[in-house]
Amino acid sequence: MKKSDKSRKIPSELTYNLPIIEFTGDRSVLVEGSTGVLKYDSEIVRINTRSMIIAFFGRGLTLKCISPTAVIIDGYITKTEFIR
Amino acid sequence: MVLKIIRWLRGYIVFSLNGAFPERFLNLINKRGIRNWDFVPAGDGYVGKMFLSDYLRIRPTARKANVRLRVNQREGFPFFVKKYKRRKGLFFGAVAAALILVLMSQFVWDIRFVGAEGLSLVELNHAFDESGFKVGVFKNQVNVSEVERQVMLKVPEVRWISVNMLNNVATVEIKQQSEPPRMKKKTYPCNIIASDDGVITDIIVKDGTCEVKRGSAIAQGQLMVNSAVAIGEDKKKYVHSEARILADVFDKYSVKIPKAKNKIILKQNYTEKSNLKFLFFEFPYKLSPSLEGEEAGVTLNEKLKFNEVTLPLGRTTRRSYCFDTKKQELTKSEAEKILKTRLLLHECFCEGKSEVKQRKFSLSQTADCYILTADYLFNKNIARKKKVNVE
Repeated sequence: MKKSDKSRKIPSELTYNLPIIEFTGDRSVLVEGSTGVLKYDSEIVRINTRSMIIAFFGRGLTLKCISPTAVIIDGYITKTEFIR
Repeated sequence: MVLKIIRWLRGYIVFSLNGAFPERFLNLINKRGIRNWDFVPAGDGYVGKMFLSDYLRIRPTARKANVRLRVNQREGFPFFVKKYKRRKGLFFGAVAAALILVLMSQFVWDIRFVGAEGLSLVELNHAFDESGFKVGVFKNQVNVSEVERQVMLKVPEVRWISVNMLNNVATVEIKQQSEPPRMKKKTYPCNIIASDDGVITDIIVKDGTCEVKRGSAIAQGQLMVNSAVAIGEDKKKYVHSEARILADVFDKYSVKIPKAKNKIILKQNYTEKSNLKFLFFEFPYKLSPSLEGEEAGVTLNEKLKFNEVTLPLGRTTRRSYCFDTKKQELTKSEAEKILKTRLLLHECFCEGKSEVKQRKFSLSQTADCYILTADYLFNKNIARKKKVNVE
């Protein structure tokens, strides 16, 4: 592949429909590209995306904000799991 | 904060959710663009918040997701209005309060002076009154620069003035005139002559030619220091004479007092009239009958203050006392005491720089008054300057 082709390469998160996850320490997480909430309680939140399911484990988890494409989860996050 | 205000204005409900598929319900309402916040697990179900308008649209979604919704709390302006819809007085009261607030903020409530320590506040207030700037005046009508100019013209002691309007309080900053030091012209030639008859006890001549000696008797108007000073043979110059010449001077001063004087005796009974003052309007609220005979009174102005802010509300109370005038005869000793005090005051204020070497009082009386005469022997400066015309 030529160098010019590399630079024109489309980001992988767009080609493979990968979600963008942004953590703020272990207190908050933003998931962009979500398609819905599969499970929600204070210890586990499962978010569906186009390519995988992401599970957040922790204590006192709350959905701070939900929109059709993004979710913000607050609380003490202890573990994250990606399920394909 | 802004978000909270918007939510309160639009009105929102706190709802609880129970059922088999709460997550499905969440996803469905998200897809329909219905916003919810603070959606947290609580007990067996969940608790969340949602706009009132959105809540009315989610019933079919709830049925589809097999969940049961229940309204726990209603918050916001629409519910507030609904709650107090029947109590129209509250609404009118709120509107009236807002109107009064807007209306009252258009007037000057108080005038404060800063930097006017040496000036008469009565004079300043009077000058402001005449310029049309007083408590209760409409703020927009005041031409501040014109008021400042007029007050400066009326009160010459004011060098600079600035009227600052902050809310309803006008703060007047004042800078006072500083008087220029008096310049004594000491260039003109002058002699020094005696202001009184006496015997010289001490001579200090700074400039000029002394013409008298210590111990010599001197008559009023006699030349004591000559301005002509010899500067060589047949030559002389005229100077501004400076000297301090102390002399023993006899003086006589008498004061008199009538044998009978009118004494004012205040009676116990008094009347009070009070007016309620609002801006510049006055409403009488306490009246009392007028007193018979002569009366004297005091007026008390009180302003209502709240948290160091003077409100445009006050009270003016005039208390009138009834009094009798009684003629009182003075005894000789009383008259002597009063007259001696007057003479001592005369010594202090009129002959303050002189030393009193001797004083002798003698009391006499006429048909209607007592007279106290004092014979003084002062030791004082009798030097008086007299201008000389030199051609």
